[in-house]
Amino acid sequence: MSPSIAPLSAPDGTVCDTGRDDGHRSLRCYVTADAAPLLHLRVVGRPAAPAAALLLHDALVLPRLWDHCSGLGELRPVVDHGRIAGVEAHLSALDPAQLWDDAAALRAAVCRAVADTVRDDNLDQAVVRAAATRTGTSFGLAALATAAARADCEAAPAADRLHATDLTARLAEDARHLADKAALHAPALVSRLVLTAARPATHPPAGPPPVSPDPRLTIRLPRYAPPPERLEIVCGRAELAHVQIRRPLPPVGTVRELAAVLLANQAGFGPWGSALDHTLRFRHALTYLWDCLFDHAHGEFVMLAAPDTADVDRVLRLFRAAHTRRLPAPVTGRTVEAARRIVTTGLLRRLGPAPRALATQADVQCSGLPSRFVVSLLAALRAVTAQEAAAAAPAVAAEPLAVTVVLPARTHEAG
Amino acid sequence: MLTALRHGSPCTAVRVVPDSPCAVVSVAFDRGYLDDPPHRPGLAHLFEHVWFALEPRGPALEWGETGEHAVVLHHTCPPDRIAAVVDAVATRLARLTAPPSPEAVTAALRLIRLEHRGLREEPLPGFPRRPLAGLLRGDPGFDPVAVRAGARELPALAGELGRFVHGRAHAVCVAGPTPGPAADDLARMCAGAGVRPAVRPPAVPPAAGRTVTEGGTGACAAAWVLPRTPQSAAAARLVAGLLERRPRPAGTRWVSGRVLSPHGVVPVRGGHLYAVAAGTDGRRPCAASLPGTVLLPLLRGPLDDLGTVRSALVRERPDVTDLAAWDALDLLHGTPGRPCGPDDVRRAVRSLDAEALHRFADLLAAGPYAEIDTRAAGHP
Repeated sequence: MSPSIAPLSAPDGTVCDTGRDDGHRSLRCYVTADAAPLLHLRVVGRPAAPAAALLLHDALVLPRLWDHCSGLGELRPVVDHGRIAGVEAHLSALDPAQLWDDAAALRAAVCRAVADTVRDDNLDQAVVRAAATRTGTSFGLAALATAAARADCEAAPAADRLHATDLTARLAEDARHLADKAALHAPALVSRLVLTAARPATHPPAGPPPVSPDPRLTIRLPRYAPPPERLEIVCGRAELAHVQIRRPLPPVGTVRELAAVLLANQAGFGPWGSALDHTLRFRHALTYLWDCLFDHAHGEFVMLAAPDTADVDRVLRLFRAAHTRRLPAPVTGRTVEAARRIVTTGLLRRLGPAPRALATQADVQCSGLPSRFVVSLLAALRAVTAQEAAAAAPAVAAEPLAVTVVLPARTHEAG
Repeated sequence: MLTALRHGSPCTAVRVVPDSPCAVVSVAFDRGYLDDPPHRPGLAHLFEHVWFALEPRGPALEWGETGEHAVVLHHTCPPDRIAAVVDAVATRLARLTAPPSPEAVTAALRLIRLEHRGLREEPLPGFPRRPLAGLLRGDPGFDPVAVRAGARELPALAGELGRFVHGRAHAVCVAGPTPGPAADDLARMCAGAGVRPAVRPPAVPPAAGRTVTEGGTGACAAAWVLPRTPQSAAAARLVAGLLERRPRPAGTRWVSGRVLSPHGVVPVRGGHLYAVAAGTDGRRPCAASLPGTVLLPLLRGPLDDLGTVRSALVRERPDVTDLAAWDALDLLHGTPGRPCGPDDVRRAVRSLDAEALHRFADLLAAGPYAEIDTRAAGHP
């Protein structure tokens, strides 16, 4: 029997009382404690699009979305890791039915505006700015390079070492070519309009009554083409190396199975308290950063480290050793309880205050996961047993690894 | 709802934030980088790292920050796990008076060196904090993050860390959606380390100064020490919002203004440390002209968008971690009877009008301010 869960009336941004989706537009309303309604709008392109489409999304699609949202209310950009990811609108009132109708017109208008684009100097400069923003940090650079390499892998083997400037220039050039045929690419660039709204708890519900969280909720996570086993990007700006280790999640069918996988991964390899974290950060002091992100858009874990260039291979050896159990990282009742605390806290921190909760729910919505995903995952994290987490560990460790490393140019050239 | 025990050892506070999804235990020590001894810059930052190496390891999702006059350590957890985290924090507090092991200090020093190099990679968007710290210390070369210590100094360094909290007040604050332990229970659970000093050191009046440093990118800043009132902290926050909305002056990459002590809770040199900074191409100094060309014209001109900025600020709901940290800092550095806590600043934001901002402009125009110019690498 599952332990008790938060009451459904909890105004914490986990309870959805309106959910509609027709493939082109998606609307969900969540209950929050804020006094005024708030709306997040995002545009999602077709999956497995070329990496250059990400730059065109930032340089062309988002500005058009902003232009066409001006009547909704006071607008602010939604910023994610320094990059604008969408539009936040402060509404005076929230009428879900009206919003649903407006969404169709809004998506059509944005799509038409993108299709009607004639490439000019302004757009070229916007693409350059978008590329600079996306590659402004080692994290962003590695993520974009991985996206590009993943797409390349599907066509032909990609180069395993790139220069950041070459990569940026190539993607910007590809984005300009896409823009030259904007009319052709517009439907793929503006595939879905995602609206995520916060409804004040005092506001009357507009949809069907909310349903309870379900740890057995069925989910389907994507499984993308794997990036190269090892990809290196040489960057003149970097001071330390930046390592991203990607590993797909083993196949899971329910949030409870996902919770077991999250706990097994945290107990073995996660930040704050796993044996590997202690080895990397405190025993050998190889990296001040050790984090593990769960990327539900790609269905994979991303482990992050920032070691000295000379220590990259040592970090990877320790990580692989933990993988093959040559390093003691047993999944025990005690480690699972610590893992449960860390994973649950990480998720809870993404639920408050309201704009952050909306951003989290918008991420989930953009990934095509159900509206009850977050609240059900919280319930599953409470319910899943240490035995289930321990049983999930071998499947976690059996998945293949892909490593992306950003290397400082100076060290690389000297070495 | 807030209940506080201001005169305990430690001082404690418990705040209920009904809509917060998680809970937090914040510990603050009354000693920051401006209090580092002359022979050991970076000691407070080293202490922050050593705290997280203490047993029990990883009791929560945790991180720290070293400020001008305080080290703050955050531990967040699910609300139903607060007792376990308070217990872990109490265990660490009890272990503080013994020097940490040389291995722990060596590892912390290595991590700090890596962190320092990592921070050098991304100096772009922020304030020129290091030159400001240098100005406040009266040492342009001062670096609040780096610690210089050779291998032979490790035993001495471990001893200094063992004495770090001696004679210093500390505060433990809990915040979350449900009431945690009562403030006096919290004080009993966490008793053992630190003694509140009888008298705080006297405030040092601000002095105008000018500094030029080398940096990876160009930036300039003008900094004031303002009267420590909720009104001046609120005015500074409103100006920050106004600056964001206005067109950027020619030749700047960004312009921003802020009170560097969180929500104005922590006094720096006896007041609010307030600064306005701009990103530039770094070819020529511009700090001297920031007040006259950017700040004062804005404050003395039409303020039609003040209502919009105020609404946005009022709408902002601080994270529960910030609330607990501000409560802890207010316990350490607040003056009873002269409220300047986060709730007071939020109330002041609601009430300030254009006339108040004109008075703020007069205050800035009359007060001495420090100028900081950071030259981009490669520009003489």
